[in-house]
Order: sequence, then C-alpha cells, then structure tokens
Amino acid sequence: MTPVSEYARPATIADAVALIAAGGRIVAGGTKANQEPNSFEATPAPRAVVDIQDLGLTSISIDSTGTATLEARVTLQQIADQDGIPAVVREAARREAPRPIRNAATVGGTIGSRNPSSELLAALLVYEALVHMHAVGEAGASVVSLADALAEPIPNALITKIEVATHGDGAVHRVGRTPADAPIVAAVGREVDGRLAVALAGVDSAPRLVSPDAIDQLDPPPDFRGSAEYRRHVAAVLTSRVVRELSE
Amino acid sequence: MIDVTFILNGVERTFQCHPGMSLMRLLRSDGLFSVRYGSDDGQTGAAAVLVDGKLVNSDVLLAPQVENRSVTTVENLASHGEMHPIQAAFAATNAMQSGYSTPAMILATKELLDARPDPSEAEIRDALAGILDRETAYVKPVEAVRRAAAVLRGEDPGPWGPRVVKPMTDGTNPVEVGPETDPIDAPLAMPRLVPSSDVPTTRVVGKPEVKVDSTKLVKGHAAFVDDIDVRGMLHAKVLRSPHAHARITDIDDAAALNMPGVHAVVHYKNTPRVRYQSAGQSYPNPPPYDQVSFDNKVRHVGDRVAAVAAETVEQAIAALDKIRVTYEVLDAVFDENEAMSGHAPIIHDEPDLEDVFDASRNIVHHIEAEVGDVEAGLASADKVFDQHFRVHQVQSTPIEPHISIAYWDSDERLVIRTATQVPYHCRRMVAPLLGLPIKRIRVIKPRVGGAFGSKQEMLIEDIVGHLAIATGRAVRLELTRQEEFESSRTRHPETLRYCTGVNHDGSLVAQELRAVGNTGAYGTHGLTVLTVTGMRGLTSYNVPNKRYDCDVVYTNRPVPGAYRGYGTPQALFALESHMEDIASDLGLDPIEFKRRHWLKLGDPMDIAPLLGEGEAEIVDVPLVTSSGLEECVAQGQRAIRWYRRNDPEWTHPSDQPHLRRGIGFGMCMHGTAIPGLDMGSCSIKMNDDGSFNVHVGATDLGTGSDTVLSQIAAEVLGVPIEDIVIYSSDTDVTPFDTGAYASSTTYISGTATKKAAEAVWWQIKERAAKMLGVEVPCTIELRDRRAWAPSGESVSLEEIALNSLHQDEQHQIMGQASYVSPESPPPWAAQFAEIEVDVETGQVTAKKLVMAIDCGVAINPITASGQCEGAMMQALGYAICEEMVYDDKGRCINPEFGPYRIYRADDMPEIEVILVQTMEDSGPYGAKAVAEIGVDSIAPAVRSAIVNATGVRLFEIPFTPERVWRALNRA
Repeated sequence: MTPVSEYARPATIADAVALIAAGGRIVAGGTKANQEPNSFEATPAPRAVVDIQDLGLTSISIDSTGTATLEARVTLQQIADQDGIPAVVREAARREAPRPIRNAATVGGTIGSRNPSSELLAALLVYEALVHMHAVGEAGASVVSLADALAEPIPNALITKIEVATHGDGAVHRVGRTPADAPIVAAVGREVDGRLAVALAGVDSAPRLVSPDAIDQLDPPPDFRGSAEYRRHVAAVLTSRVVRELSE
Repeated sequence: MIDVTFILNGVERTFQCHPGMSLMRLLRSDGLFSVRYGSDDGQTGAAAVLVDGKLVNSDVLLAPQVENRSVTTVENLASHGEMHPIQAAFAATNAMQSGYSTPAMILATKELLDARPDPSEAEIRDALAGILDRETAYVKPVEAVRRAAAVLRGEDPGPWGPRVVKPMTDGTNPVEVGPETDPIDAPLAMPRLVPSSDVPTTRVVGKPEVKVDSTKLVKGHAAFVDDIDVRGMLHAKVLRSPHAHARITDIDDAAALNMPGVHAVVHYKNTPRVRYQSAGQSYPNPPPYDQVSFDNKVRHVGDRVAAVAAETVEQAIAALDKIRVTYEVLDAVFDENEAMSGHAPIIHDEPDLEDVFDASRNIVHHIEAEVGDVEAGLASADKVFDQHFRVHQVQSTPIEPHISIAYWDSDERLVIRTATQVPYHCRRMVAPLLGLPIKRIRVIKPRVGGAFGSKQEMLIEDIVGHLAIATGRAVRLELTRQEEFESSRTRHPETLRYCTGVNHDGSLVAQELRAVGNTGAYGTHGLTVLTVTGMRGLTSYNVPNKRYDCDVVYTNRPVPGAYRGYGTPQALFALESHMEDIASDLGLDPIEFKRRHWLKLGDPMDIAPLLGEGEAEIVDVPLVTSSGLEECVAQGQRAIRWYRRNDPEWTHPSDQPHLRRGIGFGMCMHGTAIPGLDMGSCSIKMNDDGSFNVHVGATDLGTGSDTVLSQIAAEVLGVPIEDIVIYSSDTDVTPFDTGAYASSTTYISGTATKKAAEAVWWQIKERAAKMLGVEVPCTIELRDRRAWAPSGESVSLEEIALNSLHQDEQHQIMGQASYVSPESPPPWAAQFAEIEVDVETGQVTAKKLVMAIDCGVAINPITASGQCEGAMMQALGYAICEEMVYDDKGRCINPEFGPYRIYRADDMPEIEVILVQTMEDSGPYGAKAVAEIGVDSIAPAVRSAIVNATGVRLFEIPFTPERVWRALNRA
C-alpha cells in the first residue's frame, strides 16, 4: 500500500490547486505516483493525494490552424489512437509504455515526471508544445513552452492542458537493448517550412531540444545502459539519421 | 478509512478501505484471486483488470480512484461456468505454463478484440505487451488471441497441433541444406514434429492434450499459494541489510515490539543458531553448511537481519523501521577473482564454519577432474587456442515471487503452503531449523507461478516457521520484486578459460577448462552448479585428454543458486564460441568442425563419472544411447535459412549501410535427471466410475508435468486423460519425489507413474479375466475405458471398479512405484539465431530463433515446444539485455522490471521449434528431457551470428549496445 494519509477528489481547478498548496500530491493516472517506495529507502511519511479525475480534462481537439489541444488527463492511449496527431507523436505515445499503463498514464503526468528517456516528451518538444499550468500562489494559468517546463522540476502546479502543433514532417531514430526497450538515446526531428528541429531523449536530466551542430557539446549523465561518451556518440548518429531522413 | 463504491463484475459494491489501498489488494481481499501480485510498480501486468473496459494495472491504482467506475476481473468472463471463447482459446492452445498471469492476458485480449475483431499480429503483441510472461515467450498466447478472434468472428480458427514433417537425413549423415528446401507452411506456434519410425503407436502419449490444470488457470480460480484466506493470519516482513558486509554488534527490538499490531520480532539473539545450506537437494545436502536463519553478520546487500510478524503488512513495515541495528561495516569484495586473491576481506570467518576449502581466500570448493594427460596433450598439439570468457549475473524473475504461508492445523502440526520446487527437501531441511520433527511439518505446494530454479531452495520457509512458532498464529511472507532480485537466487557469474590443443588436420588433442564461479555470499548450489559447468563444458566433444580446474568463490554479491541450465549456459557460451573460433582460425566451417568432434551414438561421456552432480558414484562411463542431432541440424538450417549467411547481399544490405545481418549456430547437449540420485514416485487408485486418482510427489511449476504424467497414466490404463485426477506435491498425501529440477520429472517421475499404472493395469486385468472368464489375464487389453478379451468380449472399467470395490472379493485396485535411473540420456539440440547489428550504435536485434531438439518422444508436443520457447526467451535475455548491475557498495541498482529488461510480447523475435523424435529406450514411452536444454546455446548462437554479421568476436555477455559498439570500434 502506498503511504497515503488522505484522499481527495477536487471538483474544480481552484480546489485542486489549494489542495496541492497544502502539500497534496497529484494523482492523475497513478502509474508513477502510486508505485510502492523502494524498500531500502526510508519509508516516506504518508501524504494526502489529490485525484484530479473529477476535473475532466480528458479531451483532445484540433483547431483549424492545426493546433492540437490535449487536456492534461488525456491518456497516452488516447494520443496513440487520435487521428490528426502527428505520426511520430502517436508512435512515441505508444512506445512510452505498454497498454495497461498507457490506458492510465496521462500526458500531464508524463510532463510532470520529466522522464529523461521519454521519446514522447522529445516528440512533443519538436512539435512546439506549450504547457498550461496553474501554479500555487499565482492567479490564473500561465503558459510556458515545454522546453522551459522541462528545464527544471515542475514546481507546485497543476498542468491543465498542452497545445501542440500538428503540421510538418517527423522522424525518429533510437537505440535500446531490445526493440521495445525505453530508448538509451532517441532523436526526434521535425521539419516544417524548411525549419528543422531536433530533440533528444537520454542525454540530459530531461529530454531537450538540441542543435544538430552542437551534439558534441552535450554532457549526458551516464548510467549502466550508456556512458556519457556512448550517449554522445549515438546522439550524433541518431541525429544525423533524423536530419538525413527529413532532408530526403 | 473511507468508503469506495463501484461496479465490481456487474454488481454495485461498497468497500471500506484505507485511502492508500491499491485496487489489487482490495480485489484480492474480496476473494478475486485472479488479480495477482507481480510487483508494486505496474511493470508485470499480473494485476491488470478492466476499468470501464480499459485494461489497467490495479497494483498502481488506488482503490478510491475507481469510485463510480466499473471494474471487471476474469472471474466475470465465464458464463454459467462455460468458458468465454477467449478463455477456451487459451486453454485449447496450452497458452500458459504456470498460468499466473493468464487472467491478465485474457483481459488484455478482451479489450483488444472488443475494439479490433480482426487484429494484426503486431496489434496482438501490442495488446499483450504489458503482461510480462517468463514462460511462454508469448508464442502460444499470440496464437490463442488469433484463434479466439477467429471464433468470435464466427470463423474456423484452423487446425491446431504439431505439424508433422518428413526427416531430412538418414539420422546419421549430414545433408546439404540450400535455398531449394521449402519452409514449413504452418503457424510458428505449431511445433514441427519429425517422427521416428521406431516409436510405437500410442493413444494419449504424444498427443497435444490440453493441460489438466487449464480450467483453473484460465478462469482465475484460487490456485496459488496466496490464494487462500487463513483466519487470524499475520503478515511478515524482513529487515534486510543495507551493507554488503558488516558485523551486527547489537540489535534492539524493544521499540518494534511496542508498535501497534506487532506480535513477534525474530533475529540472531532469539533464534537458535542451526547451520544449514539452503539449496534444495537430496540428503545429505552438499556442503558447506554456511547459513543460519539469522546471523550476527550480513554478507550482501539484502541479506537477512530480522523479521517481524504483525497484523497488517503496513504494521510490519512500520516495525522494521523501529528495529535498532548496530553495524560494524566491513570491507567488501564483489569480483570472484579478486575475492580469492588472498588480499580480500574474509567473508565467512565464523568459527563454526565447516567444509570450506579455504575460507581465508574465500574459496568454498576446489574441483578438479582429468581424463588422459592434458599437459602432454597440449605440449604435443600443433597449435594451442587459449581464450577467456566472462558471464554475468541474471535473475530468473518468476512473475510470482517467493511466498510462504505457515499455519497450525488442529493437530498442532505446522503446515507450510509454499511456492517451492522441492516440497520434500524443504520439509526435511526446515525441520531442524525450527526444532520440530519432520512428522510435525506438512509442506503443500499448490500451483507455482514460475520458478526456473529460484525455488529449488529452502529460502523463506524457515522465516514463516520461526514466526508461526513465536506467535502461535498463521504467518504469511511474500517477497517484493526488489527482494526477489537481492535476496532470492540468481545465475552464477563465472570467469572461464579454455585451452585447446589442435593439430593442423583439425583433430582435437587436449582441452582444459579453468573456471572461477562466483557463489556470492553463500555456497548453496555453488558446488553442483560449477560441477555441471565442468561436465557440460567438457562433454559435448570428443577430446582424448581433458581437464577441469575450478574454484567456487564467496563474494559479497546477492546469492547465485539454481537457474534453468544450472551451469550449462555459462559453459556452452564459452565452449561453443571457443570451438567456432578455432574452426574459423583453421579456415574450417564451424558446423563441419563441430560435427567432426561432437559425441555420436555409442560415444563415451568420459568425464561424467568424475563430475557427477553429487550422485552415487558411477563406475562405468556412460555412452550415448540415442541422438537425433544430425537431423536437428538439418531441420534447423532449413528453418533459419542458413545459406543466407554466405550471401554478402543479405549480410550487408545495400539500402541500409549501417546494418549487418548474420546467422549463428550453437549445439546443445544436456542431461536427463541425475543418475543414481533423483527419485520419483507415484501411487494410483481406481475409483467407482473407472477413473483414477494419481498421486505424485512431482512438482508442476507450470512445466506441465501434471499433464504429462496424466497422459502416461492414461496411456497405460486405456482411458482418456480426463479420467485421470492428478494431485501432486503434498508431503502428507503424495509419495516422495526429489522435486522439479535437473530436467528430471518426465523421465524419472514419468517412469514411476508408468510403473505404478502398470501395477494397477495388472490388477484390472486379473479382475477382468475373472469377470470375463478368461484364463490368462495377460491376454486382456485395456482401451477405450474397457477391458477386452481376445474373444472380443469386454467389460467396462466402471464395472470392474464396482465389482472390485463392492461385489466380489472386495479389493482396492491400487498400485505404487518409485524410480531412480542409472542413466542420464542426453537430449540434443541445434539452436540458431538470426540477428541484425547496427554497426553505428552497436544495437543487436534478434530477428528469429530456431531450436530443433531431440528430446526423445515428446509426451505432449505442445507443452514440450512451450518449454523450448520459454527457455529460448530467457536465454535471449541472458545474451542480449538482462543483467544485474551494482554500484560500488554492492547494491543492485536495477532491481525492477524496465531497468532490468526482460523480453515483452512486442519485442520478441520469431521462434520456431522442431521436435525431432528419437526412441530412448530407457525413458517412459521413449522420452528424454526438454526443460532446460533450450537455455543452453542461444548466447553462443547470437555471438556466432554477430561474428557472421561483423567479424567481431565478443567474450562477454550480455551483448548490450555500448559493449558491442566498443568491440566494433576495437576491431
């Protein structure tokens, strides 16, 4: 059982933000938040959880300009299934986790988790995602680029939706231990109107946009799946593949 | 506590629960035992349920999250007891082994087919990808989904069963296998069966019978250890060492004992110091006896310190935090070669340690064996090949973790319901630790959710026993996934060096294997695993002079033990790679070179008597009595399309310049049981209706042994398999069996079952002869549930049973037998791997695995092929992606699925299995072993394929991208 002292289901965003301000932990899908703590770590003190399911926030819409709005509780499976969403984003959502996790895990939770290996976050970066969030202590919503949102751990805030572009061509290349493994490094690219954007997963504390010419400047955090040197090398290889594919 | 109301299997229900309670725990507490624990992080999918029709993992769902929603478990699928077509398809295709996660797979299928009635294979694999299965390699489950979809669409799913194919060889001589040979046109889930003309016709044996336990598994019935409620049961948790090596100078449990709900805390101060070794092996267990239930020293991160019994799991966890332990932290050593250097910390310095070869250098055992004169052989050889190999530590990861429940029965005997491969060994081994006579202990093994060797251990049964004695209450202990990695058992890491003397003409003169085995903090299976490494590493090929030299070494790693293959995969990775490299350096075809030297019919297994697995001494050198290896090689070459490896357009695809392709080969030779030691037994009695109760000590872990033994009994007794009611592995009820290990059950317990059935068969014939007025009972034949006289007259088995039990010279028709074999006939296999290498990133992707196996006569070709498929999946993980990784403090940094990568349904390569029949006269109906051989030579086959693709030789597994990239860079 997870260390939970109280459970709340706020009906409004304002109530949810107030509960978060009081120390509550957001539970969206719960696939990360509800994991048992590692048994060699000190058992964390029980916390109040804030289940945001009564806020709705489950719809996807695409406007006439081609901007898709994904509300925060849109699941990864919804993204994978949604026509009109770019193919690399849909495929990245599918690859993010297997189905029983995709059915629960949300796009808001994925952003909040800042998983450095997330191919989905890399894909959303190149599709210029904007994140709408209600921060504790601030009136109204603020909008930041996903790149800014991922640059630091997200402060006490409730993500309500993201906007993401849908036009342009995408490409992705990755390396992992097995075909469905979380990527050691993944490069996602997008070309639109002659402009090229590339984002990498697996080279920093969170996925990030990069300049294809500056891969050698990266200083990836190493782990047992890849040293810094290796990650830098494959980042260059995968980036060049993405650039080449989008140039063809 | 809060109220949670939701629709559960169609009925609105309200539960009171703690707000942090997972939906999995709530459902299980309500008796919905199909929802199973695999981990606490949603990574196994064993606890998947449908919420509003969507598959989600209930272990990471808080119960309050489903308020006002609809939850469906597999218990709701069957209608009026009739299986849902999806359940029926899983049962019909034997799409499960242990079946632990089968309910989750069935729900995944339900979600898929509700939305996609005609899914592609990729969609099926995607749907199943969230349910980890360590057993089937997803081959039969994918086929089950395909067939269920067809049935639900109202279509004929097509034929099912083994696909009979013609032999390609005469059984002795090789054939050329080129592109003109046709692939077999049948789904890969249907094993190919190459019949042998000397195998007698049978009615039940050799047929693709449905598993006898399939109903309970597909319906999710209470079947596993944890699927019971025991009134007043306490929950145990174990305090584990955060240090790799430390002395416990004091322990204070006062605060823990004062915590709410806590009933007992056990540790070194209040537990008798009784030495034992935990490996589940025959009496007397091999040395060293280097463990006690709780010691004043810890020797690896995750080692036991203390255990608590409390009224809830949460109370037990809270109490662990209150145990005050004072550690004197000691230096630690993790590498086996460093540990034996003489400068390493001494891991076992306890004064009462016995039977350790050299404790001051951490050497537990030293093993030597020699045939001929290796030194002279190497000196005389034209060339000596000297290579070093390194194999790593992996965990078998059964999805059901270790779990034991101990409770007192009304006669004040201790019942231990436990997930074990060795119920009888467990009872004998735990008794002295608990201070109870064996007669006061009953061990019950219900269904086991996968084991693969890790449960050939008396691992936690003593803990629940101590706590049950301390409290007088029932006590349950279930390991977490992290504990499975850090305190269960693993595969031995080994350093191996082969020196082989070869003459210019390719003849082998001498071969030496030097191995250093890392047995971690305790000896357990170290002696026998490393003995097997030597025997398997020096038996496959005829060499006149051969020598094994081995040290088994303590380190401060989590403990290795038994894991499917038992020292063989380590040996054969090195041996098969070494032999291929020799061939290559001599300019010879690797298969031709190996063929020249591998053992053939009548050849001696000359080092076997010197490297037995602890069995009674064998005087005679055993000979090969059956071998279908040549046919296996030909069939495997056809299936993998071997000829492509010599086509540069295929190996170097011009449209993908960063890719190289390759095909590799590995030969496998294994054993069938431990001769002179493994014993199985069986008792059979006849019921009023002509059915039979079969009681066996054999331990079905999902392997299908209950099914196979039922088929053997049914074959002898002339009845269909549904007339056999089998019950296994209960020390109060069933006769002795050494347990499920050493690839022994079909051969040993199968022979015992056949003999017991023959004893019953004879009594039936005598009774039938009397009833039919036949003078010579042996002329009676049993078939179709009747006893037939030569005249054509017959009497039903039911009439015979009623006559015998109620009417005339009443007598219970019953028989029993036990069996121990003087022989261990080897099964053989040819394994092939097709891979792609990305030479810019080092990523190796397996595209297809093939295994052509001679396991004698497969009693059930579907379950036999399932054994091969599952074994190959584990072996592929060993070769490519699985590894336990440690930090410099000895702490495993990836004790969870994901970081510890096992193959999912959506990243498995194609798998093809070919069963090449031979008639092994010493086995029941011609059977040999099948359980372990499939793990033996995938790693060398993958290495061989990488060499084919890139020319680069690797000497260490796993072939992870960075390791391969670095090797490519060095080349």
